[in-house]
Amino acid sequence: MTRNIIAIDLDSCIGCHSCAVVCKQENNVGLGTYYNKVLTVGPSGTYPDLEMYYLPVACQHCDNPECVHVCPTGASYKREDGVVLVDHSKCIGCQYCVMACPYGVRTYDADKDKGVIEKCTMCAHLIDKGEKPACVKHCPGQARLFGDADDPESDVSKMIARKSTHKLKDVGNHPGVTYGLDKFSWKGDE
Amino acid sequence: MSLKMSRRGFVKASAVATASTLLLGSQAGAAFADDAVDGAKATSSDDVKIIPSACRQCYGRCALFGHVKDGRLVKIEGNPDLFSEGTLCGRCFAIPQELYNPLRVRYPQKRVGEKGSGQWKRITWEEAYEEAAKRYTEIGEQYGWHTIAHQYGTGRDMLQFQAINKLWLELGSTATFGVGNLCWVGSYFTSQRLYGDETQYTGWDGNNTNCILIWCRQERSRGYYDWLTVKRAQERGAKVICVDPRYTCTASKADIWLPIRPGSDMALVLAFINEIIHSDKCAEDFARFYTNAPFFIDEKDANGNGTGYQLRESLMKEGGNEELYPAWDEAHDQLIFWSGDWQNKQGVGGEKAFQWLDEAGNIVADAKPALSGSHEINGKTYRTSWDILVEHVTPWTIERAAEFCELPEDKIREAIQTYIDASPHACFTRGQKVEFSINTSGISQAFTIMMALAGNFDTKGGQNIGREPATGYDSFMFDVVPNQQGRMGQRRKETAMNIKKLSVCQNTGYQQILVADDATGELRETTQNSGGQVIYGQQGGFGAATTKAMSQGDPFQIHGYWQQTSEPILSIEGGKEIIEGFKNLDFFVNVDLYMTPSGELADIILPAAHPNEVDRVEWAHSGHGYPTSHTYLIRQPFHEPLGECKDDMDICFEFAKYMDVDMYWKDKYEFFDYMVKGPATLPPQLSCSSFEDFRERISVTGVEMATVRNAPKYETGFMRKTSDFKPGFNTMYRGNKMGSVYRFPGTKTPDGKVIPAHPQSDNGKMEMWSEDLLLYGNGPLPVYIEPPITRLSRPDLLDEFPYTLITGGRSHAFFHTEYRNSPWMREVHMFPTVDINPATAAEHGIEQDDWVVIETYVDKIKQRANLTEAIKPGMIHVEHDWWFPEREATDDLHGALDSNCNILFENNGPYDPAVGTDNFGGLCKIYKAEDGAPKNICMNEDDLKIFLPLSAEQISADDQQDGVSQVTVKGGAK
Amino acid sequence: MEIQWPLLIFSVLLGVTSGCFVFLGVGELRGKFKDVRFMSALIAFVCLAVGGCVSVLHMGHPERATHLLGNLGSGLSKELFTVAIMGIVSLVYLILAKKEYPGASKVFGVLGAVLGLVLPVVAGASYLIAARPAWDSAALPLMFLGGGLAMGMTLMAGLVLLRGKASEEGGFALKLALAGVVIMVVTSLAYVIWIAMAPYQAPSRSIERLVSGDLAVMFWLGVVLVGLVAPTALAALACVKATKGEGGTGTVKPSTLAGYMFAACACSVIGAVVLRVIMYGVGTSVEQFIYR
Repeated sequence: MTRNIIAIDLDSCIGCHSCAVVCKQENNVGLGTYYNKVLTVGPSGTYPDLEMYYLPVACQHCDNPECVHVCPTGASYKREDGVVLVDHSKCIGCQYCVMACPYGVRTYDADKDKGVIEKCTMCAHLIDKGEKPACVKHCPGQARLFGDADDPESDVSKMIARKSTHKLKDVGNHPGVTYGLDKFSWKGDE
Repeated sequence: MSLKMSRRGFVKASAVATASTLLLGSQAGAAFADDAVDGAKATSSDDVKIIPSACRQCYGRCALFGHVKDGRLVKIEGNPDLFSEGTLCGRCFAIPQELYNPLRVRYPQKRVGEKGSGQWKRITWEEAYEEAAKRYTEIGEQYGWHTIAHQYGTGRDMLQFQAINKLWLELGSTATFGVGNLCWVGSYFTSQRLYGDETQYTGWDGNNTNCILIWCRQERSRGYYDWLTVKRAQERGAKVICVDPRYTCTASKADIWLPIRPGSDMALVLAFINEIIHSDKCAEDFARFYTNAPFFIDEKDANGNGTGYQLRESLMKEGGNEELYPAWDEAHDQLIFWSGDWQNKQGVGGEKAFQWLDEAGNIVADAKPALSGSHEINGKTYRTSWDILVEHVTPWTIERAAEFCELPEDKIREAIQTYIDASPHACFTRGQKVEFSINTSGISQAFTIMMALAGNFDTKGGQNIGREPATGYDSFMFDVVPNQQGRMGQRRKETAMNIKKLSVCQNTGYQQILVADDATGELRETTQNSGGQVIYGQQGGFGAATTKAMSQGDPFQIHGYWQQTSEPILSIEGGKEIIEGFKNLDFFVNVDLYMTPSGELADIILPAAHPNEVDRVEWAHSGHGYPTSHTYLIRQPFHEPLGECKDDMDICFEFAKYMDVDMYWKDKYEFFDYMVKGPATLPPQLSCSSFEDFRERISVTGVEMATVRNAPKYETGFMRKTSDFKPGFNTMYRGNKMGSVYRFPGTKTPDGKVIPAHPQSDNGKMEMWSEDLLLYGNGPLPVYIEPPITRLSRPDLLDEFPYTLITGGRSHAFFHTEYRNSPWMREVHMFPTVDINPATAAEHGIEQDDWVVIETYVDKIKQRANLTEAIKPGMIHVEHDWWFPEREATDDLHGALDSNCNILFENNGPYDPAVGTDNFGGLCKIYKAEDGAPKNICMNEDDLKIFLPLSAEQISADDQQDGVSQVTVKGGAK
Repeated sequence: MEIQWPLLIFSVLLGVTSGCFVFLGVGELRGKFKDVRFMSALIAFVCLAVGGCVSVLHMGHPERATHLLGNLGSGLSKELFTVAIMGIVSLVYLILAKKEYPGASKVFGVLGAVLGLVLPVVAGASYLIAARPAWDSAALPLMFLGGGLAMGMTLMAGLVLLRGKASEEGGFALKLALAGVVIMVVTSLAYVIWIAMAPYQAPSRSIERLVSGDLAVMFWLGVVLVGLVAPTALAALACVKATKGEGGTGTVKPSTLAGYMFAACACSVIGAVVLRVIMYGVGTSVEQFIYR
């Protein structure tokens, strides 16, 4: 079965925010709204003994998505290929999913007069055409990877096999996005 | 979108090209072209045109596609088939926001209020040109054409520079604020003088390297695709060394990070050279056979006897030949002479040129010139330049470097050893900061010696030195071609002939500097003498000199000014003085995309087309490896320029007609045709029959000559610009390629002493010991100069200004002054940000995101605090080029002063004596700004909505009869 | 997270409804409070209706309510169903209260009481979200229930004392109110203890914020003093005063006791609101990357 995920090689990520900006173009995301943001973790330690990496965050397309469980209308749903989406025509804007998301990556979009929940779609409209998500396609560090985690030959599986991998904190939701980080210690468990 | 670009082309095709001994590079280009031509014509069902082009949002020139619908750019996408591999940074996606920005000037404007009042009226191009022609002619005739300054910034592209320069040099103008003085002048100038071409930005071969030494350069400042090369090298096992005072992205990725004390770089480079010279990797044969290392130097003795120059036969005896350079032949224990007479003007040319000759003038084919050893000739003992170099660098031990640079010895040792171990497959690249100093020429010289003696010149994984013929002509031919034909306008000739009187460029004369004594390492105050050789006109510009001329009338008053794609108030030291200078001007034309601080002081604004509204031959700048370094690509318009905007080049060509200037080229296309066709020696696959042919091909990628010939270019004659293909270098090409440097050996020093004329040395040898730099006053070898305002050089300031201040680290959200009006980029980075260590911040009660004042003994600014361990306690870093386009013209010229770090430095020297570069670091204090943020600036994402692109309807509804409507957040966002 | 005022008001009003019905249900079983049951049921119904309407303000597209059956497993769906049933039951009870169908009234009154016990728990259960550790405990719905019982029962007791057979039923009403207040104290403290022991501790959701941090004033003043101590004192005092005196008929007038009860109710409301404000304050997600 296909299990599409985003994997991010943090050793390759240069924190340039290209993914955050191209996402705005591709998905027509308004000012102040972000499907995707790049955080700087650190520098930790004391100058000059430092560690730093960048952490791009967006919807984790969890295996067991809380947002889907709490959605009263079924507007939030998980596709068979693993992508978690919001059907805007069904969304009543109750925002329970915003509360349920462990990562603060969903937002209620009052801005565009939509009154619905916005978040990363893994560029479903592109991947359905066989393309890669816009952020993956343009990533200057080629740090962002997309593919089927169940296919050992996919870009994501290869990266996962090659590197120490980490996930964001899991409260039972089992986040899908996998981060590779060899150079520094993962600070996400602190 | 129906177009699918395959990934097949790039890697495979370039592999073919490099593997072949033939010049097959163009096949790659042609292969891409097929696809992309289809692409250009392809239209999808909803009529979206997909146009292959290039980005000009930094120096990287990434390849992209513009999706154009109903004549409007709706989307940007990466082109996977060229060097950028389909990757694009955030700035590319902000292109539509630039194109349709509410602050864009779309029609010519004439100022109707006071300077800086922001009051403008639309005029026609005809009116603008006519008035400009009339006013400049009046100034030219009344005060002289040299009193008109011209200026371009790092701006829109390299070809446009040529048109601006051509226009104004022909009109007799010399003064500029420059851009090179902020980045490339030092390295270009120095490497041209040392071996005839520039290497310090270009051609680091990361694809094959075992070590990359990155000096003060960020991965994410320009051409991000370089990081792909770096990381692949790392994955292959290559080591990356980063030298930077700040823990930047590069530092975090590096294997070794040397957090150097700002401004102390020379001590570290000298230690590198020292260790290299004393290692078994030292490229002694290169030094022996391709440099002037074996040459004897006619050193000045204690009594002042001796010229100080390289010894020539003419200095040894009456009637001696000035093209013969003596050395000692170890093979035959005899004095031998190198003939530099390649032009056969001194009777030792022809077959004898570039040969070692014995005293009788016979060629000594198996001569082995001695690097080391003194020799007595006519009672005077001469040392080789090698021995002088070795003596100079030997005291610069790792221990001493550790002390100067405040680095641990073992770290330095590890870094140097890594570089040496990897050589000759080690490469070097660096950012611009090392050239923001009063020792720019010296540091560039030191880097060059380091690379050369480590054996990394033109090796696999080393440095590709010099531009390659495979990529055709470069932009400089714009002016070189007419010059070669002797086509030079009368006004230009008059200025050239009287340049000493008509140039504002400083003869730095005597200036007090702190130099480290080689023997003891102690800093001592020294008087640096300009040496008598002065650059009088320099395209890179002397911002400091032009500022003085404009504001103080020294050495003469500048009356007229023409500016394109530049903002000196923000980018050059002494911004407030520049504003005064602009207010003194009688007439000022600014050509730009937007209303800018300096534009508000102009008389006429001409609306420039956006880079993606014009045709260009484009190539990546500022230092990228192969194949980027050997690729030209098309930059073609997504649509016609908005309103009445025009291509910067076209503006120059059009105005030239009003000014009766012979531009030589009929229009830009004639030059493009010439350029893409390339020289006759260019392999046919790399030559395009015309620009239109090139447009169809999209790109052309050449090959590395060292690869093709399987030997370094200096061995196969490819470093010779004279087409004689003799092994060696070409140092005659010392005049600035752009044709505006005027050198005068034989001039007087400021104290009236005449420097004896000497023959210009072009003897095919690289000069590590540089006669030219001696004449400019820098000295023949790179010396350690402590920057003028540091804890060591100005202890008197420490009580009040205890912190080391550094400036200008590049932000990935901006390109110098650009993008402050881009909602997306400002969203990424909203505020001018000062980096400060938490420990230092705590001493002043400064918390994260507090607005703080940074004050030097000159002035003070405000930025927002970022508390980070990335910077050493006691050190402060402020961002450069900040202004607030959301503020009105009458509000400090669009907020040009509140956060502009360059007003923190004064414009009073000392400067680099050769290239006039200045110092942009110092000492400061920092404290919380009681009144918070500057007034009237965007404070959140909502405020940024004022900058959102205008719709087509909005654009057509506003014909800018009264100038550009200012958007503002005064009293809340509107 | 930010205070969701519509949801907060909804949960408080819903608590009042719940407390009222529990009170009435007990009354029906004991055959008491007939005089006030219409007024009580009306208050309960209005609270529910107003609360429901306010909570709709929170939604972007209430008109898409047809989709609400899309995921019956979600807490919000359960909550809506419970509210709907409660609405129906309270409406029916309201109608019955005007008539004389003792059997039916008893059935619906008890049904209402049971729903009254269930409603706050179901509503609170919507907040049981693993992502927000400070919420993810049964203590939260119980706290909702406790608050509701105190608010509703003190209100009802006041009503009985003011409008009902104060002399006959007042004592029992006061006892019920006191019981409600005590349950509130216990459940509220239990919830606060949960905050202290919740997993994934972080400064943003630490007990220190309540005890000595930025929420301390709200906690000590709003929750502890006004929300818990004051209602307890008032209810206890009322009980004492009602049972003392000659023949245990009380030393003060029923209307004064009613005043005590309304004051206790008001204090409980304040406490409930402030505790919910704190609840939102400490309801931070395990990791908040983009939005707070």
